[in-house]
Amino acid sequence: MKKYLAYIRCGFLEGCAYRSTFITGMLANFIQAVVLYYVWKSIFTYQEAVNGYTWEIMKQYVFVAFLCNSVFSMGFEMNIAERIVKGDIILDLLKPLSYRGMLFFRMLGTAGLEFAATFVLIGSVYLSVNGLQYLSGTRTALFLISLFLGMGVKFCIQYIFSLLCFYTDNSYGVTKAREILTNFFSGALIPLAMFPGVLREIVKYLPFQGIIYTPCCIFIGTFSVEESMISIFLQIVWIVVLGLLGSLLGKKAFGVISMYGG
Amino acid sequence: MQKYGTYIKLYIMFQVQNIKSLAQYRTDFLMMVFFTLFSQGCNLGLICIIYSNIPQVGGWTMWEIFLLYGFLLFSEGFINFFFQGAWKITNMIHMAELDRFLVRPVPVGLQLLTAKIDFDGLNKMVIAAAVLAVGFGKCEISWDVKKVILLLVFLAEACIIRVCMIWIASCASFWMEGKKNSLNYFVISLGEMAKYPMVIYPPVFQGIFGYLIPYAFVSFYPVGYLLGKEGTGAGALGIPFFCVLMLAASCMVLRQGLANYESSSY
Repeated sequence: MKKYLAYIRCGFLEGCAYRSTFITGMLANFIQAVVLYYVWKSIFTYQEAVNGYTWEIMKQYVFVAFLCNSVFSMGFEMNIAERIVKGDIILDLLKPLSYRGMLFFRMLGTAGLEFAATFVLIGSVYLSVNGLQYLSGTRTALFLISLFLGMGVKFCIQYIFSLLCFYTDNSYGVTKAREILTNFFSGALIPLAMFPGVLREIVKYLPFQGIIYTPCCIFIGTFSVEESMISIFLQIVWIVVLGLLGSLLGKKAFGVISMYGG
Repeated sequence: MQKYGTYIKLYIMFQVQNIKSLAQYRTDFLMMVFFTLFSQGCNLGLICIIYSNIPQVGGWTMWEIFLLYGFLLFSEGFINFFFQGAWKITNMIHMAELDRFLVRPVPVGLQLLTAKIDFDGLNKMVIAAAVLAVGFGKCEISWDVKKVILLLVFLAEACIIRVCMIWIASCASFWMEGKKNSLNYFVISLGEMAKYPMVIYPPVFQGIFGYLIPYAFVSFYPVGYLLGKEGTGAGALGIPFFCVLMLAASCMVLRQGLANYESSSY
């Protein structure tokens, strides 16, 4: 465990060192959140409710979704691809700890920093827009659990995508595709409840909703306590499934690399 | 005049060399085509999903929003394909690669603009053209020769304004210490705002992204004018003015920046 703690620290320091990357990413996300905020605002001046969502709920959703999206925002696919090309990856694989564990704890360290920074920014925006009226103790606690599990789901998905980099050099394309896929299907841009019929059904059976939609719905109270429990359980199931899939694919992918020197 | 003819010839030669260098990444190119199609599809899908729930945003229908999107995407593809070098300035300054350019008897600006090519841009322009075609087909516009010419002029102006935006943001590296200059990413991210009509934003944002970073002149005013929206006539007249202003600013920034440039190499 001590070994992994060192990686948490390492990830944290890494986050500090590359803060400009993180800040740009966060600002880009933030602009998107602001744009969506005003789009919805103009929509709700014409009608009271859209698919059961009122302006009151939407105001919260936009910002909470932004918070969930910003935590754990740095993808590690590009980093891994670079290490594969250079041959440094072999140093990671030789270390006496699990490769995936190392990645995870490193991300955890960075995520801690990201969470703190985003929380201050979005917390103040949220409070100035919504005030304290919608907050509730139990829901916030459940939200934090769900947010943490959502990070787990996101990590598993990123890990599987990062394995693709063992087969292709196009890490930029892989990263972009993963980002767009998760943004679209996780509810980062629009609540999944607004998806049209068939798509809504499909999304239900995908793991992506656990990343953003589930924690958001728990926080803003669209899910009852019982529903929240069920969806948290679903998140855990997805983490196990994707985790197993990751190990399986990992075994294959590690066999592919061949290196000159290193 | 002959001088400019030579520059254009040189530009074409540089770009042809760039295209040749791409031949070694053939699979990556195909993957990029797929990823771009996929991501633009998702973006348009998002607009469709929003509109499947509601009839209009700020008085604009879905097809009209598609036109805004088409203008933005087209200008983005244009930068990627023709002037992708504008993105590379930051890195070149940091790695002192600029020194190489300074000693050649060709204008530095020309060399910087052709420093890189991104074939994905062509892809984006094709998608954007398709989106525009569909959008214009669904919107009722009485076309005549004047409007067709205006459309082409507007598109060209949108491209120029956006190239200048990236150019100026990248050139800020001349004055910034350190490796990273995130300003150009920031400018690109701001484009997100121009995907929707400007009227939905509060006055402060309208001021910032209408005039300080003139995105309104890339998508909102030209499309609004073509569609005959209220209050866009004056703005459409302002587009050439902003175009010239941005071009002048770009030239000035490059000149000042080069005067200020200290190579980091030894």
